[in-house]
Amino acid sequence: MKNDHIIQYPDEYSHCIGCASCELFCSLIHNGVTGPCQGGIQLELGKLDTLKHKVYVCEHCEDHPCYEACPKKDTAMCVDENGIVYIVEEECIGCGKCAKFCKLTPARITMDKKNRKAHKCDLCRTREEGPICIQRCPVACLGLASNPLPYDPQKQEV
Amino acid sequence: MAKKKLFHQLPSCYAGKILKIDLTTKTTSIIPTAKYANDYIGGRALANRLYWDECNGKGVEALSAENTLIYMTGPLAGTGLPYSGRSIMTGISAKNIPEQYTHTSCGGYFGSVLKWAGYDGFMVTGKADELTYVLIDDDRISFESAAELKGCYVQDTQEKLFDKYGRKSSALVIGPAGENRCRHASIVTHADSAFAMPGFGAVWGYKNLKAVVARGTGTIAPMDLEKTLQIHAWRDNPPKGIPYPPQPCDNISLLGFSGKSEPYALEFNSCNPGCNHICMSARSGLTNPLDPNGSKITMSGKCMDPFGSIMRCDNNYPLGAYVDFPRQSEPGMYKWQTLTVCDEEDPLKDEYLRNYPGNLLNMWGPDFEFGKMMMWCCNQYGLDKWDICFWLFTWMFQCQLEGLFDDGKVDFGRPVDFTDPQFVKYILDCMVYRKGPMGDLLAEGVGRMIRALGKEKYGDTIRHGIFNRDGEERLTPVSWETSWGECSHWQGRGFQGCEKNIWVSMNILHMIGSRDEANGAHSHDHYDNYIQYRDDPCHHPLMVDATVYNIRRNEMKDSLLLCEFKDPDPGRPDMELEMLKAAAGVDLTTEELDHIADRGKIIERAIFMRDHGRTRDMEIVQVYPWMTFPDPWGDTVTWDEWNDFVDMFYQDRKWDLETGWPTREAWEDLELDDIADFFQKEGKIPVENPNYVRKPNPFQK
Repeated sequence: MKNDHIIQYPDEYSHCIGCASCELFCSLIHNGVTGPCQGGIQLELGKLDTLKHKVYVCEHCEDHPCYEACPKKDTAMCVDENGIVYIVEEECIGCGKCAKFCKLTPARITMDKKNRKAHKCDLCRTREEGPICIQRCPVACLGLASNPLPYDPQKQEV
Repeated sequence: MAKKKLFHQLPSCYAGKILKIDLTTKTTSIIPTAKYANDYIGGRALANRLYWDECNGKGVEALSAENTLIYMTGPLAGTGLPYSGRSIMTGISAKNIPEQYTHTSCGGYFGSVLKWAGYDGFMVTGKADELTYVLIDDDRISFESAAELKGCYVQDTQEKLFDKYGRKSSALVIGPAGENRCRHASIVTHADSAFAMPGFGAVWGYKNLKAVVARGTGTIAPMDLEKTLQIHAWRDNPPKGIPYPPQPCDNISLLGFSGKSEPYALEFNSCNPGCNHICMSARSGLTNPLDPNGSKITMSGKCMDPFGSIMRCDNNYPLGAYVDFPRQSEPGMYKWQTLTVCDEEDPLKDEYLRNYPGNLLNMWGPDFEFGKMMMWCCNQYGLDKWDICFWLFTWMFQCQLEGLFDDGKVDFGRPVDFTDPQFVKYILDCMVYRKGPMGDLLAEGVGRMIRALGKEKYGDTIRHGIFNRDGEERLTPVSWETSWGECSHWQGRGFQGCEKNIWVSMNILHMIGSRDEANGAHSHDHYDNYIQYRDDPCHHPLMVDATVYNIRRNEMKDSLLLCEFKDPDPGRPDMELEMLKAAAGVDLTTEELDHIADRGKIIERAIFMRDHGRTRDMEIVQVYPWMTFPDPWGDTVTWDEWNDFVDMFYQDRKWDLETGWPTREAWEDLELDDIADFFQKEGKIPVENPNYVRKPNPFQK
């Protein structure tokens, strides 16, 4: 499916536990490091009394304004045949325009200001097993927008 | 063993710096991690050496500007390795009796975030002139007024700091208990990860330190990424969705309990970015007991949930209901605490697998509401749950049972009522805010309070109505205090009815430490060893080996650092080595890792000797009295039996039998000649005394 992207399943299906596996694995396999500005997926820890956490990730919009804004379009910021918008990090100059022009809030592009690089989800496009965040989420609360939920949470029996 | 050079340069799993913070002068300085990492790896072993070099706790009170607390991560924190987000803190304990150097560990995100800010740890000394928090924002360190955080609950404090510094920041904070210098006060991070037992929250309170906040933009990298991912694969559990809101259930496999009152079940919870696998439980959709508007909350499970029940593993017994459970086992299971794989050929197999009914303590009636109030108050006030659940309220209940409050001499300000959740709030309010006729005494901690009331009556009175597995009454005191002002933990009596080979080993750990040492691996050994020493553990060298093994695992758990509930992993005995290899790129043998563990542990002993005058006479009496009360099998130890075992253990460690001081050989074996030289000057290098005679039992009437 074109413009497929990672989604966080609704709470009724599975509750994110805030473990940061998605962030850590994303940054480890893409950059070999961990750090708050390294992954293409962003976990926002929820309030401490409810522990309802949110995951933010690029939706690979059809009009991809990040790509349009990139001064090194097709070199640093590219779109593949499946509509996946990805960054070639060695080419990225860290200008931040992609993040600025992202139409989602918060912006789905992480800026590593120290190293002047932008990071975003590329759906692990070169990885045979698919997105690592989905694979490594211990509570199965991440999936692809193109995949229906494994079951109807309203009919879920506990 | 020759000293091994672990690193030619500091691996990328370390941030490289340890921050020294002086609250009095509002200054900071840097100690390079590389100075210590090669010989001590990280965590507790490194903190012990740092304390030895940088501090001297002789005559230093816990609640003083001079008390220096050290916070350290290990090489695994921030690397993404499983169960690796933990950190430790050391310093002079406010709660333990007497006050002395001790340690505590904690989960949470803070360790990783601190590393991303560029620091592997920090030490804090001095006293601020007003309530302060320290902000570590990459290289920018500032001392900020915490006036607006004064009196705030633990979670409110963190939420205000999140508002200011973003939700990618992380903070260690104290609540009102710490600010009011309650000796059970904890230092907490995130939902409920705490440095709790030694009362370091009170030390921060004394120092006017409300919080340390970290925010970083740096990176940490495991040296061997492939191995890091491989280790995750080893420890994988199948992904499993956890729907929210949870559905009410009739029970949670807790004996004798039915919890219909509220939804509760979120079986997963994570306490840090390393613990990103199946961990403990959380209770969700609960009604906030402190909010009159009845907002909904989620409570972290960790080892104690709203019921006060112990974690899932194999001991799901609700606190307040069952004590001294002799054994529950399943065929073929490697027992997590009780250490054996049951062998089909074992003549005692049937006996081993038999379940015995535990003793019903039946502490509180509406246990859900009572337990929930207890846990949530501890969360928000910043109190050590362990001592509140396992000691304070248990003691109070048992005193009431024996009629010790009937004469009205102990006045809590309202009647003791275990059916009313508001009663628990009232007592904890008194403790935290020093209110009511008992407020100041409660704030001094259970051990000191009982001494002030009169230990003979309020501590040592025998509680009746507890039985051994044959149905015979056995006697334990109303207060379950054991060593160093701590409550019994895996010592055979109280809530953990483990058998003699476990509690003999555990009591050595408690005895040579300075706190409840069951913060770590508890007790593990192999079945083949167990069947050799189970009939007479105090006289079998394999029991010494098992004890040393558990001490080493405990040290490494707190030095790498790992989660005590996941390591050591009987299924992967090489896990510590593999984790270290993945994080730091060093390939050690088990012997080499144990050598580092021994080095870290003996420096703790050096601190005890230098600062607190530790001797055999001091420590041997700490645990002995508790072992004279029968365990669920009716087992005890005699004075000679216990001393025989201590002799064997000391000899194995090359410690002098008379003084308990390590010999020069023991120091030099661990390449600690400088410490040997120090003690030579102090006259504390023991010379063998051929006329040494064991001292008589001081408790013999």
